[in-house]
Amino acid sequence: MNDLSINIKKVLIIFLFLFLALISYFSYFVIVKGEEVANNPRNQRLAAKRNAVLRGTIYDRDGNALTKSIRVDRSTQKREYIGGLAFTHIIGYNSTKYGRTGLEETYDKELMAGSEFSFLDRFKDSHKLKNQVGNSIKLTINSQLQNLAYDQLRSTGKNGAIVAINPKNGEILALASNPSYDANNLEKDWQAITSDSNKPLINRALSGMYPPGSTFKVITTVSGLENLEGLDYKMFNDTGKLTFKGTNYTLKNYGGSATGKINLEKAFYKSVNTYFGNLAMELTNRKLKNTAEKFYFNQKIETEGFFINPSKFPEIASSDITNIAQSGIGQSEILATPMQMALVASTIANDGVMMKPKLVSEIISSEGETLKVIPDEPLGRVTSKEIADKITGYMRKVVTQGTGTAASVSGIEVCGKTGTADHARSITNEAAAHAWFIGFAPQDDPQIAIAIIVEEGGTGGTTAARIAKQIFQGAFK
Amino acid sequence: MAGDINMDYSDLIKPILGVLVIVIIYVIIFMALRIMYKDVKSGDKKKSLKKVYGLEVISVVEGSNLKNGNIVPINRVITLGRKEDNLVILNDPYASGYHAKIYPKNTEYFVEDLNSTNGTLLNDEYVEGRVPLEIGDEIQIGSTKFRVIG
Amino acid sequence: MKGKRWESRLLIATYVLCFAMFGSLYLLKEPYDTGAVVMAVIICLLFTYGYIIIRKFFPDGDKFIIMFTAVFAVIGIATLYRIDTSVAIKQVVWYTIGMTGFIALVVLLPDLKSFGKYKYFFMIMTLIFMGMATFIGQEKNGSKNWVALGPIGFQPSEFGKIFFCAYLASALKDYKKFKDLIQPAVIVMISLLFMVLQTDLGSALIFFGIAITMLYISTSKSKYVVICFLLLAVGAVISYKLFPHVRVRVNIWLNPWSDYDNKGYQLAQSLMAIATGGFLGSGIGLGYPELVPVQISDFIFSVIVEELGIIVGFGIIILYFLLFYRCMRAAIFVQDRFSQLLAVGYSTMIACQVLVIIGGVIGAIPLTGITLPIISYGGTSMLTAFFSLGIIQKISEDA
Repeated sequence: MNDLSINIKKVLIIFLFLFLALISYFSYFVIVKGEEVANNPRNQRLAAKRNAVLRGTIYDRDGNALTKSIRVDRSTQKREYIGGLAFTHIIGYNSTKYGRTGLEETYDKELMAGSEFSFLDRFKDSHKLKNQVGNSIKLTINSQLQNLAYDQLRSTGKNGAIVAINPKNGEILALASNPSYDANNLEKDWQAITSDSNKPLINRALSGMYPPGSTFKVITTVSGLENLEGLDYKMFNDTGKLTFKGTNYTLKNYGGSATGKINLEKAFYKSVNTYFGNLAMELTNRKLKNTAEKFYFNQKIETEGFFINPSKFPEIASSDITNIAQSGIGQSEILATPMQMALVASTIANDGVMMKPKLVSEIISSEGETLKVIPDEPLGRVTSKEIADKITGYMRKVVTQGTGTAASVSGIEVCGKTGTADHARSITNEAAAHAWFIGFAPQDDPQIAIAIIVEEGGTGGTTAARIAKQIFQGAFK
Repeated sequence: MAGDINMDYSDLIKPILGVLVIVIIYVIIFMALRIMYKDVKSGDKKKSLKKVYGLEVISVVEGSNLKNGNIVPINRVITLGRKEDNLVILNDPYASGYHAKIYPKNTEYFVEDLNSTNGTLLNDEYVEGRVPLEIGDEIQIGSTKFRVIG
Repeated sequence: MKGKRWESRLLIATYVLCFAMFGSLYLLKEPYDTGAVVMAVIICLLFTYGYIIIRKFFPDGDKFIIMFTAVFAVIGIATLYRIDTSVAIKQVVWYTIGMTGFIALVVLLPDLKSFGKYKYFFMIMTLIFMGMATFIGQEKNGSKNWVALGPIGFQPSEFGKIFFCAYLASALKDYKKFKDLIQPAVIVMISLLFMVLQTDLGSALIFFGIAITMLYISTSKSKYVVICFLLLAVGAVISYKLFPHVRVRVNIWLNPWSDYDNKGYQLAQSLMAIATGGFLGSGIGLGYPELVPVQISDFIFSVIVEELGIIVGFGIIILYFLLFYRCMRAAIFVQDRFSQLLAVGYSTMIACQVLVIIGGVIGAIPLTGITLPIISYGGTSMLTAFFSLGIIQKISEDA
């Protein structure tokens, strides 16, 4: 009989292992896959738990509400975007069907704070638990300026973006992108939105990649002043074009004009392509690339709550002289976001120090208590105050006697740089060039730095500069 | 809402009960394990302290292979009967092939009749099924008698 | 006696469990739900009564089996009460019947050794019950394993399991050489075939588990076990290629969300319920059992884990293992070979059932339609469980 007993004991051990294996798999599932499974969008439990908390509000810098949450019944609530189409890209949307984007996504946890009931929460006052409201966030955005920017873009009838930031602290005052869409009607409009060839879902201010054109000359100038001693005193003979040995290509000024013997300042405010093409070749690709990267080209700009597409400055072989020249005038393969160029302007405005751009200034509890203040943070010193001051002077001349006179506002000393960027379709004459304007005001104590791009808008000096005037006027009203 | 004073007692009890459920399940597991462990431990001890019983032959049939005074220790199953594969072979004509069995179980000893023709007597009473044994009991199979000794 | 004191403490712990769970249910609704308290009292009385009878009149047997069934019954009925009070009431009725049957078996049955000779009777009953659903059965929850005779419906394969174990025990007790295995092997294969035809793959797995365990126990030859596993592997591959419903099960197991709206829904919901509950659970009454399908039987484990937490899930698995251990222990100490094999068979049946269904609902193995013994709702399931445990209890008396 006893040999059976031994077998039975062996079987017991085997089953012990099987049960332990079951517990092990169970643990594995919970620890490794648990969170992912629980957060599966099809899990109605999480939605129901979340819905116990009324979603928090997003405010502009003056405390005006841009969103509104209404409780429909015990397990559903409705989210309304009351700011208008101008704010859609910034705020994003929160939809069970289409997901979450924008600040609704990146600040979801704060907006729904309290819905992650911890085990200890169960011991708290259940009445309070039943009427929870999430935290609110306060933006740096100025609603009047935002609406103005958006309206200006719309009036052009073309796609584009406008960025306005405070150069001293990085606060984003306006971030507009055209075309926009209505986040209140996603279900109804989704087909139209996703099939629109203008791609309204993209926030062009942060994600749009464009050749910066002559606005890039700011960076070329910085690079020149830093690397070539006494550059601002040297004279250059502008014959209206640059030729390159071994190629058919000529680099011409806009309109083909020649300005004769000029210095850096004049080349800047008249936006002379030959000067800057030549300067780029003197600097070499390496030095110019270095400077561009100090301005955060090819780098990720760490920001809270939103993502800026890294702008690109190419590495060019020293034999490829036509491209090197073109890189000096913001063409070749350079691509920049409007935000990037706004940061360029704001760096010059802020004595050469680039401030980290921020969209959200505070997180506030549902009872009005400030929970978190996002501090001002410098990204670093990009160039010296001396150089920044020099360039500020040049940029002032752009508006007083250069290509950007359309941006001048009486009573305010506006500084700027225009850009007329060639792109694939403009080279083949299918469309106009992109119209750019970057700048800041007032000259002696800049409060606002902007970047404007109107896709296929023509010359920067007309289309974009005109809008800049409106923006500066609106900002200083 | 400053200071909600009317907090329901149930609000505090509910989560406490919830925790209690979780805790008590493990209390049960641990208690059960503890008892089982104690059983296993004491079971071994008991086995070694157990008294060993034996069967003393006190009356035999003529021509039997057993003699008065023979002692058979009962430390495992003892089978009794006429057939030769029994442990105790009885040449008794009134004994069946497989007549009875005597064995220890836990702390006791039992005698069990194996559906014999003439039955097994314990202290002059017929044994039905299995019956516990005490020291001094007399077991009769056919004409053969045994006494239980310690 | 010292041991007695710990046993009564265990009993008290079970009372505490019962009142803690039903207490939570009492406070759950407004106004307070007195029905929950009534249920708690009834259940406590029931298992106390059963416990007293067993311990007083049959003190030699195993003392844990009846206590563990009480714990499972409390957890099960409390959860069912949370889901649907009428179902809970029915379960209490089944529990009563089950307990009564359990006690009756222990009291009334003679020594089980005498049943060893009814081999052919068991064989015929096994075949009848296994085949019944194939011929006169209807489909329920994806398996064709339900038979309705007038107003009463039952799952014949559950009863089949009982006779299956009895048959194998009686056939294998006299094993001496390979030839003796042929007849049982045939019966096992026929039974498995019926299960596959009825698409009751969970039961097939359990039968396989029982057969292979009893095979090893009676023959001590591991090579038979290896051969059987190889046959299982071959059989699994063949059925995968041959039967679309097997392919579906495997695909859903690998990624339940791939067919979320149809076949994968059950498993996906079960997994999400468990994951959302977390280690300490969402809290009694704060979960969403209505989202989990078949929540009163197959997926009851998921419902429990969602509200009470994964820690409780572990506890339940541990308790089932302890029950299995006690059942097997009865087999170790008993003398008669038939009883030993029978105890092993029924113990393995319960253990395999637990492994297959919990494994299925947590996604460890493909899902099958099996119930969790005693905790799941189901008359047939309860009766089978208590019958097997009753037999084991009786066997433990003799050990």
